[in-house]
Amino acid sequence: MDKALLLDDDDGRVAALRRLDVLDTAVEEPFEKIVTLVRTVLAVPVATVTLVDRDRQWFKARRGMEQSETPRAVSFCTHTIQQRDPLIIENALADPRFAESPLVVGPPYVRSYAGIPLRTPEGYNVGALCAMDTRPRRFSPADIAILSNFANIVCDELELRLIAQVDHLTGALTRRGFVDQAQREMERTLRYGRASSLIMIDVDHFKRVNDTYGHSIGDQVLKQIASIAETTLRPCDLFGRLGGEEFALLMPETSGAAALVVAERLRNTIADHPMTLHGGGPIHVTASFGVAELSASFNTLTAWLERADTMLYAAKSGGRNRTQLAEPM
Amino acid sequence: MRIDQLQPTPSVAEPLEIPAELLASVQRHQAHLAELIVSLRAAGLGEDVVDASIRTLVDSYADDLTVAIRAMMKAAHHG
Repeated sequence: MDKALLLDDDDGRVAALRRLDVLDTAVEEPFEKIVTLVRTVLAVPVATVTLVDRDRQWFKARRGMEQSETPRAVSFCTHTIQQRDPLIIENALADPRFAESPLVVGPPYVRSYAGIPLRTPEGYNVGALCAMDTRPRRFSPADIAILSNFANIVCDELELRLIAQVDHLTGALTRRGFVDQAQREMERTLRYGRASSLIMIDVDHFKRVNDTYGHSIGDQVLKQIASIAETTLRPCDLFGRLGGEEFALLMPETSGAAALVVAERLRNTIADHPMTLHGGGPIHVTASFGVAELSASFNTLTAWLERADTMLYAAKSGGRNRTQLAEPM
Repeated sequence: MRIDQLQPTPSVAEPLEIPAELLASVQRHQAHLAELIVSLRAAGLGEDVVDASIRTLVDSYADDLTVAIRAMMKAAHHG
């Protein structure tokens, strides 16, 4: 597609962003380090790695910005992604596009902005690396060059995650990585008439953990749960993080009954294991489990996932910290 | 090419071979780091600041690369 047309293709752009599997993901050290370096090297109070979704901008990493996301309508970066070149605003109060933005008239009181588009290999601008100051400022060519180089590093990190399909908090497969590999396993299982089972895992009351102890503690809990799950894995098993606090375990050559035993063992281990945390005392969490053996009646992986998810929902409804096994179909 | 052969050399790195699927991406990252070094020096930043900045980035990337390679090695079993 013509490069100019890509700038107008917002549907394609949002799809490319979604393929990165990065929206609403946890804080990750590489991106935090980059915004910290931007702040230090360019001597700005605010730096962000911004991803522009359909109706919002979400900050993968931020320093000097309290909000984790804002409506797209008030975003500087939504303008940055409309062009190939950096967007430089020397005085936001003098620019009618931004003078009345909540980010200008309110915290963090942006007055100047330098944003470099973050471009995917297909050529879509999915967001921007931004440096912002609270006073009018002229960004020099040297500043822009440095910021552009850092933006390339951000893209390198995003690309690494995309290729490897690994969730960098837990080491589990990303949703996309899990689905890709689970699809192959499902086809193999059905082709040879073998047994295979899916276990869906969801941490109970996880929002409460984050609200009570903070996201840093919540992340440590997820890492420890993933670590517990991985100690039970065989080399042939697939383990993925499908969402915030939701995991999936695909066990080839395993009947539903056998998977139930594994799920129960995991459930008890998690319930009995005090989570040792940096910066806090141990806490206990539990998880609910839904188990479904693969049936030839499942036309798609989605159908199989939904069956296991239904069982997970039943476990939650039944009081949490329990396992529900689907009846054979 | 191995992780411990990245330039600059990461502070701590396993001698893991970088898979072919990641090689182009890793080489791009190496080029981007080299460009950043040039830009930081051209901006007049002291060598200690340049070194510290690049060290931060290369160590972080090496960690991510290690995680990614281990996951890909495991995924190859399911290929």
